[in-house]
Amino acid sequence: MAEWKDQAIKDELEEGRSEMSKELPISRGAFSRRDFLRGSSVGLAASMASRYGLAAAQDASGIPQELIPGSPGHPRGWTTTLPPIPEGMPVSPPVTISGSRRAPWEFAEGDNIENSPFTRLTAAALGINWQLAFSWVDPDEGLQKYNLAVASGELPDFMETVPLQVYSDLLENDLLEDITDVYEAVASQEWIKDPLSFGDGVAWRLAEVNGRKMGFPYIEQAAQNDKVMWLREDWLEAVGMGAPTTIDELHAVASAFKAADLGQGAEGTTLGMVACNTLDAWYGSLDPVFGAWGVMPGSWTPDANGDLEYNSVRPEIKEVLSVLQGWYAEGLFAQDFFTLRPGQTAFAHVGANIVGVHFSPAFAAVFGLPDSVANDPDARWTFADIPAGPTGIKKKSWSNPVPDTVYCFRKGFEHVDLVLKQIGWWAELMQNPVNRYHGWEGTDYFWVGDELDLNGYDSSKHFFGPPGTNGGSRTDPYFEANWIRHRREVWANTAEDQRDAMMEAFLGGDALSQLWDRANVFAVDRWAHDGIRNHFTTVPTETMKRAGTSLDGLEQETLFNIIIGQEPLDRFDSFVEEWRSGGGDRITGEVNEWYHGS
Amino acid sequence: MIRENSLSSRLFDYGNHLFLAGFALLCLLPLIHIFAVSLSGRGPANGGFVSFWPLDFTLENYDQVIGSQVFLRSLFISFQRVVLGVSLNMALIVLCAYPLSKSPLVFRGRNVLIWVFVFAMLFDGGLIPTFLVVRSLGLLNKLGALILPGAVPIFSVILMMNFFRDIPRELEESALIDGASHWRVLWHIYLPLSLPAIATLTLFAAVGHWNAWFDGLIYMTDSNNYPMQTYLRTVVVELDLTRVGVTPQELLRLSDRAIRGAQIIVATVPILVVYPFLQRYFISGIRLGAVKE
Repeated sequence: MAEWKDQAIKDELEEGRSEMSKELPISRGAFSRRDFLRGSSVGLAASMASRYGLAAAQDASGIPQELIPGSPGHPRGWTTTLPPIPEGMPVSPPVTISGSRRAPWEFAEGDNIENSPFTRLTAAALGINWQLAFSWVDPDEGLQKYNLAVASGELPDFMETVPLQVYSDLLENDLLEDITDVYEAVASQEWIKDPLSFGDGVAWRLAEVNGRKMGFPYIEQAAQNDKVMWLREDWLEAVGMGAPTTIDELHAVASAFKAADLGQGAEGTTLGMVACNTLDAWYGSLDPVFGAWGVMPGSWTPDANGDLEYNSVRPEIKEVLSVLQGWYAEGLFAQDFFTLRPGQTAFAHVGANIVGVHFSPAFAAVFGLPDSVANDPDARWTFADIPAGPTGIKKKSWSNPVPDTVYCFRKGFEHVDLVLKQIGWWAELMQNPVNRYHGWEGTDYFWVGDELDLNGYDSSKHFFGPPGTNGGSRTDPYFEANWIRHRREVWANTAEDQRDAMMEAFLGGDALSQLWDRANVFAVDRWAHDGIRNHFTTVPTETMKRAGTSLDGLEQETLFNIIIGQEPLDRFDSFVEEWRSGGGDRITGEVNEWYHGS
Repeated sequence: MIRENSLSSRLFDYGNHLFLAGFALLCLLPLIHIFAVSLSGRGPANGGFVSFWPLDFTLENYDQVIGSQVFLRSLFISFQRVVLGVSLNMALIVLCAYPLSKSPLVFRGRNVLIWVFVFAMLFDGGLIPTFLVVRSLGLLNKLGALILPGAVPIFSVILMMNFFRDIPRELEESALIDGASHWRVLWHIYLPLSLPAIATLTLFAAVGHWNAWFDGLIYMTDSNNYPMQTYLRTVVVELDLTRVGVTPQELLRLSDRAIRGAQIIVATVPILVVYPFLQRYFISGIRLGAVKE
């Protein structure tokens, strides 16, 4: 009976997954929402347990209860389900592996990076002991320490976020282990290989060299920096307008905000919109405005012939510039916007409550907006989709989840397989919401009576390798979105008297973090579709190295000068000429050589 | 002292005072601003509403800073470093400067030695060789790595040596005639007469140790062993989300101006406190009239 039920659920799950993955890559690797909703939490958990033979695995492994995350003993606690231990593990005798790590981190009393809840469970379940080779905080420091490690000939076995310069040095000197064959043989299909195949294999853009895997990809979360349009709801009400859906409406709303002088600063300091010293910035950006004409400054996109074309010199840019020039002349932007760094706008404009609309990522809900609300308790923020352009185009900059870095393995390191198995095991534990992994009591959370205090130490920062580490490198770019969905759909639909304290803590979170969750899922849903993706994703070409800086300077200077009206709009045409003759044509040739070659 | 009382001279004095006061204020204002920010709530601090008076007054920032393990550990490491490092520096400075201050007639080979010192002051082995030496001495991640490589600040040795040479030789000779050894001469004559120089060099050494961050960065492979300034540098870096692995959560931590303000104040105060204690030794002219020539 149980057998039969299992099989049925398993079939359904698989069917659901393949069905989902066609239209929505989001659920790949995780269970589809539908399945979560269908299975009552108890029934599904039980069937899942027997499906994986979890009970047996746990008993066999004999992992001491205190090493297992979760709070099963507490009346309002929950049980974390460990995935089955991979075959042949824990290895005995245990293996010690050295790794480099990016700090900072904090620990519960008595713990450290080599002796944390993570290392203890990893040692007990998998037989791997981790040893810290070196750590750093700031990226420049990391570069410094990697250079010292290379110079002194003592590379760690497993290297976290190797900077690109060091990576190419290591490759050139043949100091890295080729993990292709081990990866094929042991990496988990469901928790490593499938999730890493998103976006036409862009995850491997650096880690794979000439078809060989020379490292493990570092990936960030989907749509992490994709913009949504943040709006002051109370200001919209004050001027009697709705959320703008087109660029023209955006202009009208921004002008109305400015005209009504709704800002908190001195009289007449209200701005229409936010812009900063980068057109396609990570905060307070104008990229959706350029996107409304289908172009993205600084990006390379395929043209009608399938060749890559540099967007900054496309004629549509001129149209956008003429619009922005008008807006600047009307005083919608700060007079000195081109001197502000992206992050500064979060404080100087958003936090200071002098703007009511800006294009920023979902995390603006916790970066910038809290300051705004602190300075004006009546401030109410909401978000909406980016506006469409005159021809109905609605695009924004696509945030690439693969930054310029890789995890590497030292040449001659014998235990690549163990590291990959560890990554797969932890990924399954962490990335499948059904397992209810929320870290450890005393580290990630504390009990205060029946309530949870979540202001602990983030244990995922203690991990060696994905799916933890600082910066939240998972094996699945949809990790965050899957979890949010799970909380908003499965947990929120759990009867209130059935909820445990963790569910309660998340569902009852403050308004801004709820807003963050909603905006995040909203952006993730549009990630694949609305993003203009920069297709040039490799190291700079020869001419870029030589002439790139001066061309970039020329571009920056010209575009900004046109926006602020110091140079006429027609200057753009001569800029395009200058760019082409100053090396731009050569660069285009090199870029396309690479593009068609790869 | 004789004062000139003409109008122009008094005007000049006033002008001078005004100028110096303004200049001092200019140096002080940023610190006062940071102090005000550190006592302000997060919102006004980040929104740029705080100038020289805290808004939304709170001590929570200090509470958080002082409650942070990493910060406190780095503070402790810096304290250890200053106490041990400065003691070692001063001992070695004095022990090097005393023999070198003797004339070549008494201390043969002194000139050669001086050149060795000067050479080592002007040229060093470079970053990587120095790192390799420190590593093979087994000093990585130990306090010794912060103290030993710079244990002999040669520039200070030369300053001290010149100070010793200014001390009238007659004082030393009279002691030697009475049967004092070199140790006694150094301890009972040279050191008491050199208090101003010692105070100055101690301050140099203490400030140097307190502010040093680069050696902490390269010799402490484990960032848990960072001294104060190395740690602070990682906190007050420019925020940029395009850097590898910077998550929104981390950006939040880095962006809190109020907390950063509190950290800067906590890191500045100890060295400010040291100064008044040393100031009373900055009196020269103590040996006025000791010798009749």
